[in-house]
Amino acid sequence: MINMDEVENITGDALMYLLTVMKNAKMQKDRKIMWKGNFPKNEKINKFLKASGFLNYMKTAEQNLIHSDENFEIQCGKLMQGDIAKYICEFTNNKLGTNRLFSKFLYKMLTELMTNTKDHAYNKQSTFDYCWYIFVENDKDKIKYTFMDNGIGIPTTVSKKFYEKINEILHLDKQYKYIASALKGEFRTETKEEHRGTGLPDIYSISENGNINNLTIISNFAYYSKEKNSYDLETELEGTILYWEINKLEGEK
Amino acid sequence: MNINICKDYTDTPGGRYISQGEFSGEDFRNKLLMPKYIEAVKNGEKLKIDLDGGYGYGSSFLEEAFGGLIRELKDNYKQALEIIELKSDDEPSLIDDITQYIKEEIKKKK
Repeated sequence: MINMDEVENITGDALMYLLTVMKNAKMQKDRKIMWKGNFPKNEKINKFLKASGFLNYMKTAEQNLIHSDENFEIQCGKLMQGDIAKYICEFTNNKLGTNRLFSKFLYKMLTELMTNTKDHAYNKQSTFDYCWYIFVENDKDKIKYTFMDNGIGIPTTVSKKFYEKINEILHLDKQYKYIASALKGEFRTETKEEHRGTGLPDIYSISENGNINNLTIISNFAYYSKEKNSYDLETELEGTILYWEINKLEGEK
Repeated sequence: MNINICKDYTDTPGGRYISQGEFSGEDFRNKLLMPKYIEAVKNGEKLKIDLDGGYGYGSSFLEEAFGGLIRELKDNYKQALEIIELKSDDEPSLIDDITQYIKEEIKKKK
């Protein structure tokens, strides 16, 4: 029973993570779980939940579904889905008053994220079967994007030097440094092929160009923020959450 | 000889490999780029490729298509930059990126 009665705050990433747990076929294989839940009493949060797209993955009465043009409802997939990336670009252009040429960096970013999930984010040790999720919110002065996969996480998958492996065993290294390093394109691709592993550096470069703001990545123990402080968390997140924003002023430039 | 990626293939290009989903760089190379390139070489023609009109390109799509073309070719890869003529008014920087992918793979083969 997911009791949301007293919930006073909720975010897209929390809903997506909840979905990954509830939809997890690996877990369902061992024992069939019948999930039940209720709605928050808080009116604002209740509306947010109903408009997020979360309920599209549940059995619920039609009247509980709110389709708001202020959100791009939670979508999930296993492979690259150009149609979803295209709709997100169109949603963005619609809110910013821009056109297809403006959103090319966004399409590129979504492509790298969706394909990265299939390639690097999972292995046999993964608790979950692979899936990515995306949620987009239209805020007053910015558009907020949250992309999540529930794979084994960037700090676990990046290629490490011998001394880093020792430090990792002894818990001497900070995991957020691996994310910073992978973003900067230091040779950390798991495949060891030079022409690969461009996904995170491409995203970093998009951020450096000022196309997106507030790039934040949470993966395993790492909390990486390009603009604020980065640190390691006390509890581990199995998977990776990427968050970024596009300021509405960007569209006017 | 011409390829207009948006009209002849897709306006929503995907990732690197076929295994990653629809409209990948590998699929584009296998279905369009490689056969047209071989035909262009055979006929002594230029292969004009128009990149405009789509929603965007991930670098992995472009690298696998064009860098991969050189990796896959046994012969006739050295003249790739003379045969392939790129047009990208939407994102002019893509021409430099693709040229670089081709050059790097030619260099590795030498």
